[in-house]
Amino acid sequence: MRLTRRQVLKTGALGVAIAAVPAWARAAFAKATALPPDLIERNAWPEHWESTVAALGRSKNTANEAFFVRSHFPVPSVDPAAWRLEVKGLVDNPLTLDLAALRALPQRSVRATLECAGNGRGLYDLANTSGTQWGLGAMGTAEWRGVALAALLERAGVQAGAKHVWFEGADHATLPQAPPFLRSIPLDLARERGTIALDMNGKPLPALHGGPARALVPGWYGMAWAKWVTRIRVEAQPSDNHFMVRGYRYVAPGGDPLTSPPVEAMRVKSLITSPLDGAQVTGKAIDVKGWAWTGFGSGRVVSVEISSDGGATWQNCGLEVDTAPFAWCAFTARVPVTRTGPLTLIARASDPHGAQPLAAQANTGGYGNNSAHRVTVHATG
Amino acid sequence: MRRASLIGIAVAMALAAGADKPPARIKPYPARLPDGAGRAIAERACQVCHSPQLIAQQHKDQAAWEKTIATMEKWGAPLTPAQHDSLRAYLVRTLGPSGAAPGPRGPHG
Repeated sequence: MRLTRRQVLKTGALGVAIAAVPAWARAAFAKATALPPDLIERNAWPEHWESTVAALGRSKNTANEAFFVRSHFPVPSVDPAAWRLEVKGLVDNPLTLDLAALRALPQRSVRATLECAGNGRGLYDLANTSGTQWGLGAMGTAEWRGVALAALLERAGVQAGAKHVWFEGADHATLPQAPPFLRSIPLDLARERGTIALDMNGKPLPALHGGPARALVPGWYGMAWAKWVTRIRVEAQPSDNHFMVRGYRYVAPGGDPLTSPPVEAMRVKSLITSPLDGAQVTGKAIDVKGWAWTGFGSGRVVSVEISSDGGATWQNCGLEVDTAPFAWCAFTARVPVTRTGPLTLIARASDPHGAQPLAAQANTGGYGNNSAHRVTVHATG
Repeated sequence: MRRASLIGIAVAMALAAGADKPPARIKPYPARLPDGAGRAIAERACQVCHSPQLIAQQHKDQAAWEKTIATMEKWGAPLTPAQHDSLRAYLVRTLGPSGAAPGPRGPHG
């Protein structure tokens, strides 16, 4: 692309860089790694990759290479040697820790399910869609390891009047005037469940997943699990960041984001991982298995039911009980097959607040789709 | 006979090639925006931050695209006032509620 002298003078250095798009954009995002085979590419830059249902069903913890990726902005270049984590704001002793200092603190393991708030957006019937049209796999479970936020906050000495913990990251928008991504969570939640994770499934946290350090907020959707964290701010007020007050809100059609409920805890949900949709099945019964999870209450699902008659009748599934809170648990069922042809299985999980709906009510942002999962198989007798 | 053996060899070669081939990458959306007047403006204005795959997933009417463009202009998207209407017309035509581009659902693995 050629620019006139006047255009160059008018737009300046940044303008010249932007004018070179898409070649410039390709160069900027060239460091992106190749798409692994267990992931579906919804957005090439920044990487929005979702796991296949087959990959999610393969193991109790999702492999790092098969784990969904979602970032608001390009993966930032972070030099682990130069990286620092600050704890500032309403604290008596502001902290600045390098990676070695953080790793020298007591570490804890946390097995937890991470689900994107927009998981299932592509399955809502939305007239004007906005955002990545995720299918079923913008979620996964991992064994995370890092430092309890409560321990960091105690070292820093939280002052009276502090109510919220803000996470600031190293990522930033390509356009300088676009708002940064920032998330805050209530101080009590940070103390109770928060972790600054350094490892994912026994390996240093990959850059695509927020390495060297990301926040874990088990039970809350992924927007709260801030990536590439560089600063923890202890404040009296929640953040007024664009993504807090406008972006992640359950907005009814025609509603005002500013006064709509915020997207926070993961709604109770289940996923049938076997059989896969479209599979051929033989014999007099189908062995069904999958995962169920909730971000509400104590983070434990109380039951999962399966229907093979469109929801007229339901049978209870066997449920794994000794699982970590806010981590998916396994369910299994043997469903009788009484005729050949297509057969639709519907799974619905319940937590103490109730069962997941057959069809969740859509909101303009397409968040929190916990509609019951339907899988259609073909029984061949 | 000769023809049968040739087919047999071809099938064997295809099977062998399949065994060596890496698993298919699932890319449900196109790597280029839909054809049409205004595509160059859209590439320049939108692809600074969003890949064609993401843009092609959106299906919006005129009012919704106008809202999106206005937000992006506020955030500094490289779009001149003269290009504004052309971009909106292109997006409504190619990625409107009844656009011909791939639907919002795609595969779910």
